Amino acid sequence: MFNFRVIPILTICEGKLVKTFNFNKKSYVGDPINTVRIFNDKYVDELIILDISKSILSLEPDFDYIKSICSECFSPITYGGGVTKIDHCEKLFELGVEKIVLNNVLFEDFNFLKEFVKIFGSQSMVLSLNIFYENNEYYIYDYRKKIVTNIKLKNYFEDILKINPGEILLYSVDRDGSNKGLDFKVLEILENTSNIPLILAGGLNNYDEILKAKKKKLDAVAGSYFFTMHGKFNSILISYLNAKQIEQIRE
Amino acid sequence: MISILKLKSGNISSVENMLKFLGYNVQIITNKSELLKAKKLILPGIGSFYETMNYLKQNDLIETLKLLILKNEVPTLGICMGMQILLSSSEEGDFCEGLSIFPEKIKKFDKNFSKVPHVGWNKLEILNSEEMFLNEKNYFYFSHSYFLEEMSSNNIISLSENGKKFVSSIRKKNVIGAQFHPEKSHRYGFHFLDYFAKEFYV
Repeated sequence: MFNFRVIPILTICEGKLVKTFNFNKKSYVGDPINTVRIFNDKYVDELIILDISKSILSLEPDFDYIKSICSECFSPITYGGGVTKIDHCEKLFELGVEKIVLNNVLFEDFNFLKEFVKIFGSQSMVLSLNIFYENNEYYIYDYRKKIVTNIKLKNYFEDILKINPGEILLYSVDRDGSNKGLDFKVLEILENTSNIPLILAGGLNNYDEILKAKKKKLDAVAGSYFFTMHGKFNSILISYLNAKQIEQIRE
Repeated sequence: MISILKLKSGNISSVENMLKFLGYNVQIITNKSELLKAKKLILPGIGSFYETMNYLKQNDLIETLKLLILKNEVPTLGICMGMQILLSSSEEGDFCEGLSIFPEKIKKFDKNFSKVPHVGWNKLEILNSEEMFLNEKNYFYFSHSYFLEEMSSNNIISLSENGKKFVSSIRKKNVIGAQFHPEKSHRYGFHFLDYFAKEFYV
């Protein structure tokens, strides 16, 4: 049966690899292409590349740059950032992108999402839901406006499923860059909703959590801090699972 | 020289990148005359069965492909949709005939038994042609909703499981079909594509 995946998220802002904290404060990590090369050498399961400067500034994806990234990586690459047109998606797939993360269009254009699924199929779409836990409730976070919306995850989730996305990336904004650990509690809310593949992200900070996630109803975990930084001074350290851990995850 | 046939909405770059990384010369081909000169051929492809076959039809490539594979015995590898079109038909989209190199049909995964789409890394149970794989447990990256349920056993290279078993790679003389994506499967894919490029049917 399926293999649980462990996915580094690389956040790019204006050509630099950065680490965000609560989707806000950014810390410089290094050169994206070098980092992709390192993960490629470590036989990473998959990489999620999010260019966060694109959608905030309403820019198109940087196709040349993505092309260089794809030529450095022989694992599946999932890309998000500034994708608003079918034409963008066509180009990205041709460059070697495997899946596209869509988020902002969620707020604007459900038709685009439906068209996407019709043309490229569900398996090419990862819908990302940025979530914020507040007053015992999960809300959708709008990262362009940097506000917690009043949309409740639970209600929203049912609408989202109608689009028929291939996977959902649940990204906990309040845990992003923290050492609070993954937010497993959110899974309770989504229990019995569907069998849609879920990727949980935000707060991943140790290997035991990955093992724990594997036992839950999750298809993958993703993290950025855990794979790019460590220690209380946020020192930069690009790392991935070692061979023994990979074997353990796959068992 | 390895020729990759550009199919509609095919992800050509990844295959091209990996072959180049492995040290092979690669060319992207699009038409009949280029196709006829191919010495080693790869059919990549994402997108739907119907769209892909329709594209081949519109570009008058179907008979040439059959000639190349069946008569000229050009070593050929079909990846994902490139494998599925080697079969006779598919449940995907309006009915149309495939290249029919193999007589079996492509079916849709049943949501009651299987995850649909089947996306991610999965194990291979290798029944034949071990030399195409690393000498250890092999994992490959998959992404598809339609699958090959059965096939005469001497043409099966490997089986995988998505709720129930399905055929994940096939072979007949000079043709290999892989439902998985070697070009996205790092070291497992290196070995597989290297074998195809260097040793397969030479």
